[in-house]
Amino acid sequence: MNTCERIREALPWYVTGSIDIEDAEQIAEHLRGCSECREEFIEAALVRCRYNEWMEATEGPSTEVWSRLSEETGDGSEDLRIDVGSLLLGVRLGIAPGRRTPPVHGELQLLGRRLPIIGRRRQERDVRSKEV
Amino acid sequence: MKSDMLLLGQVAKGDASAFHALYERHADRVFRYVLGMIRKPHLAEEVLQETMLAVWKGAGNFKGAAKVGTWILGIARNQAYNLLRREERGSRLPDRQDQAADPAPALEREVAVSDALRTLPAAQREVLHLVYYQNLSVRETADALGIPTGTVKSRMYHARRTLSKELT
Repeated sequence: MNTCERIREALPWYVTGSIDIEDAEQIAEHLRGCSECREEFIEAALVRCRYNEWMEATEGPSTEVWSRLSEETGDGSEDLRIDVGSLLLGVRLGIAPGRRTPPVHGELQLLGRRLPIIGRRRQERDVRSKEV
Repeated sequence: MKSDMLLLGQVAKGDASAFHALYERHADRVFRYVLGMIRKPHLAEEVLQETMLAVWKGAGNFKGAAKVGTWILGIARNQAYNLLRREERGSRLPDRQDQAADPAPALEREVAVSDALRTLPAAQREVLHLVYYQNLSVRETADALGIPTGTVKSRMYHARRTLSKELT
């Protein structure tokens, strides 16, 4: 591998600054005298810029992800859960004293749908209604 | 601020608030790493959810050989590859319609980048992300992915050259 090839392989890390200072100085010195590698450097910087722009244009994960996780884990801190009824019609009550949100929450289960009636999930629904 | 290690220990004991703190700390990073690999935000969210669920269930299995963040990223990586394999086999449902109607990706430059990324193998996309977005060094990237530094350089070189042709 000749000098230009080695330099070009290291360019992404030169662009991001995640490289040893000695290596960075060596690359800077080479770029001063090599127009082809300079062009590659500009391309490498441009690709990074476009990639990061694309990444930043996308918002982070929605709050729905955490909501679904909470559903899956049951918030992990329920000390007691009571289910009454069947799949067609039932009530679930959960008691979790350690939670920062209200310690009791409940859902009405009707024909497979879950409707919050007490606690955090109901509060979230109320907030959403106000936002709408 | 509690360390990741301490939080994970609490998660292993079923502490939901510690799990929430761990989620808040790592969710965005994991999401963007996966997004770089699979390009579709709703699928990246799906992988994030599966990853964090695996963290919740498997916190007690953490051996401490790597940093907690690296361990979580490793789980996300496996989940993302599983999803990509399922996609290749065509066993997934088509993309959600509301994603296609999202105005943001309609911006020409973003679409161009997304299309260009599609031409890269997933192995090159993940290296590209760790280097260009997370600013990892060659060694850090190699450690995160469990591959030799020479492979990191080679994948990055090819990813960069391909994108350069597509975008400039």
